[in-house]
Amino acid sequence: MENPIGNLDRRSLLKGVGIAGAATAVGATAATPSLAATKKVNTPGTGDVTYWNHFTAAQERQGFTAVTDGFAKASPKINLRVETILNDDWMTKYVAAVTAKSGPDALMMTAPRMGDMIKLGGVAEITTYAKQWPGLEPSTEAQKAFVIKGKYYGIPVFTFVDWLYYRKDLLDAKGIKSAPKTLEDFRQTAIAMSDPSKGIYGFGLRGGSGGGGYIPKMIHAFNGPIINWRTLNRTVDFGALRDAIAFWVNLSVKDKAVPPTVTGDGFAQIFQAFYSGKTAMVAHHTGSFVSVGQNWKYGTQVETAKMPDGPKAPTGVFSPLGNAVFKGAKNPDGAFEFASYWGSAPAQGKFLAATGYIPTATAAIDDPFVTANVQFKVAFGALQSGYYNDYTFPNYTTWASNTCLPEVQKSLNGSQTIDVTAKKIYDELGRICKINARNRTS
Amino acid sequence: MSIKSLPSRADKKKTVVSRFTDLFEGKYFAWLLLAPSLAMIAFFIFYPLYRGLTLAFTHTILIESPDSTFVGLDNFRQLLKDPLFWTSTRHTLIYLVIGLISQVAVGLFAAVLLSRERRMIWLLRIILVIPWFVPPVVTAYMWRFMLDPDFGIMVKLAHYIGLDLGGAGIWGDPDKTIYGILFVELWRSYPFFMLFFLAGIQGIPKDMRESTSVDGASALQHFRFIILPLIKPVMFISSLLGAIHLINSPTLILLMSNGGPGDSTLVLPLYAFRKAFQNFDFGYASTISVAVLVAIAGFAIVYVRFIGFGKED
Repeated sequence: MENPIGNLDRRSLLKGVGIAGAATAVGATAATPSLAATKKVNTPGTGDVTYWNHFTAAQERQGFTAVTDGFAKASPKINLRVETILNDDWMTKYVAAVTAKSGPDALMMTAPRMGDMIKLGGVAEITTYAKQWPGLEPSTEAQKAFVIKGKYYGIPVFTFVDWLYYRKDLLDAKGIKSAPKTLEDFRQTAIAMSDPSKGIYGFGLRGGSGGGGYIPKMIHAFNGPIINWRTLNRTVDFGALRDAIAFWVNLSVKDKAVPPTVTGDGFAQIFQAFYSGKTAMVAHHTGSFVSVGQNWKYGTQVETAKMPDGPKAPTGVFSPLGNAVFKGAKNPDGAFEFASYWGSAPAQGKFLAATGYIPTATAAIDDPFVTANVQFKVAFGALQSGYYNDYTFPNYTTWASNTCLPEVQKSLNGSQTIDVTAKKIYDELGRICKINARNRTS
Repeated sequence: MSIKSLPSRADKKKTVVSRFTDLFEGKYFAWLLLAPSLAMIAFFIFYPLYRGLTLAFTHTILIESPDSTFVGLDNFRQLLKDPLFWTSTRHTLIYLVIGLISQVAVGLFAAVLLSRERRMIWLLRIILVIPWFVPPVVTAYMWRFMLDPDFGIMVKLAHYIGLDLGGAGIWGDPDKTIYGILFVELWRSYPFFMLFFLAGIQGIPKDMRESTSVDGASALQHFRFIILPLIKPVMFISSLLGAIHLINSPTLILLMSNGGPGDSTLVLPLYAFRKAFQNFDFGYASTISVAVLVAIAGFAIVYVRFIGFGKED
């Protein structure tokens, strides 16, 4: 598996890709002059293509409709049949489809789920298709996230880029002139912004549904990479892991800087609190950009900032979402045609305008939506200073949501010490890594 | 010496015909008619059951290998040492006992109320049955917001009557979450019992109430000595079905708390679901499911034996 932990910066997206692409083209032409002339192209798809997605939010649906409408015009011979599956049910449906050897033609694949989805055997290798597609950008970090040992498994369509939404007006009123840059700054800001007697808190910590993903990010920030990508062995130091858990938990338990409802707070609750003025900061990806702007005015009331850095590594994550072809798809040509359509800049631009999700196609990054919204400079500035690609090893999402989250919840509600929580998380990661390392060698 | 006459052609024909018609009358024909149903039962009930049972004795982790390895009783040994299994078992029992008692009680109360002959009673009957028609997903999200500690209307109403559901709130406090879900489960499922009981009560002849009135029985005595004994079979079967539903259907828990905070609402079917579809460990998940099956079967046997369904009073 290639090491997907690397820095994504705009330069690498905008220029590196161009240089690499040119170099590749020159190299390929020089090495095999006849190849360029006889380069194959993908067969145009026809017929039905069933596509699984897990978009349910209003903005996501709006953006998705724009993409599918565009595809219908671009590929009129393909009848795209969209099936929406709740994110929570995704793996259940996927496992059932893989076991029954009967699934969709194309489907969504997030980077953290990729390890599990490929290992379960339902994702087709699309190297031949990808290399024949003129829009392929092999050097981008987003594309590299879907490549394992030189084999392509997905075409990226956007990236989740974490950042901080903060109430500029409230911070200004407290005399805090800039967004926090380090985790310690962040903690101090959260404490300063809190007034529990009035039900006001500095930070909307997602300690309920969907909150598991933040915990490995904290551990990474306090330790650096938590596994060795070559051997798949655990590399995290227990002390660093414990410090990370202590930092996260103590924002609530000691600092009283997050709402007391924290262990029940999922996406809806943290944003409801943010929109109603009960919290001053919330961490989420750029996909909430549009809906935040509908509740608070950018520039005066709300602003965005890069995620604060941890003692050893960044907190912010770059996590692409792509489209894959189902192994055994009835219409793989049509499936790849849809995947490649959405992988192109025009389609990504449409999706970006509706949601704020950062596109992966180099040309789409210069979309007027990005240039018109000054807040996106923050996101790209953040990327330049070193975000890391999300983890993708098998069992990662299970570890994050079924071990990290419930164990941290126990510490958040005081029923378990931080040491015990840290030990359980550390041990389970070790167990998973042993299995992955064994499977890798076998 | 008797001479046996050879069967005539007509007799021969009759024998063939009677043999043929016998095919449509004998037990073989009955089996032939039953065959499609038996095949369907075998395919849709016994085969999955057999697969589930055999999986429980294997090491089947899809993310490691699509193949299964027979491990005997290893999964069951692991189950007995698994603290999460015992935690889930305890939560399942709490969910079952409190859920069943509350739903039967409210269902019975509502049924008695609705059995009265009043003008527009049909409208009330329709209104009270509505929760049963609401899809669980809608129920879960609706109540999740209505019981939200900051914005929930029910929490604000509770506050007016002196009940404090603030602080960590129902969904953030591990001591309250399971009761919050039980409350929602009660709201959703009491119409199931109500309909059963109402049908039972309406089957009781009306003149019995007149007779007991003549004998001087109060309404409470009529309920205690007439209605309750007569709807006992209905109560029995609906309670059994309700119990099986409560043990087997973690839908509301999955949607409202996903087993949390911590493990405070983790129940056995949800634990099995996690093991199967999140850890991809189908062997161990089947072992948990077998344990649930044994528990339900045990509960049903004990219930039948001690409550006495099927015995003549």
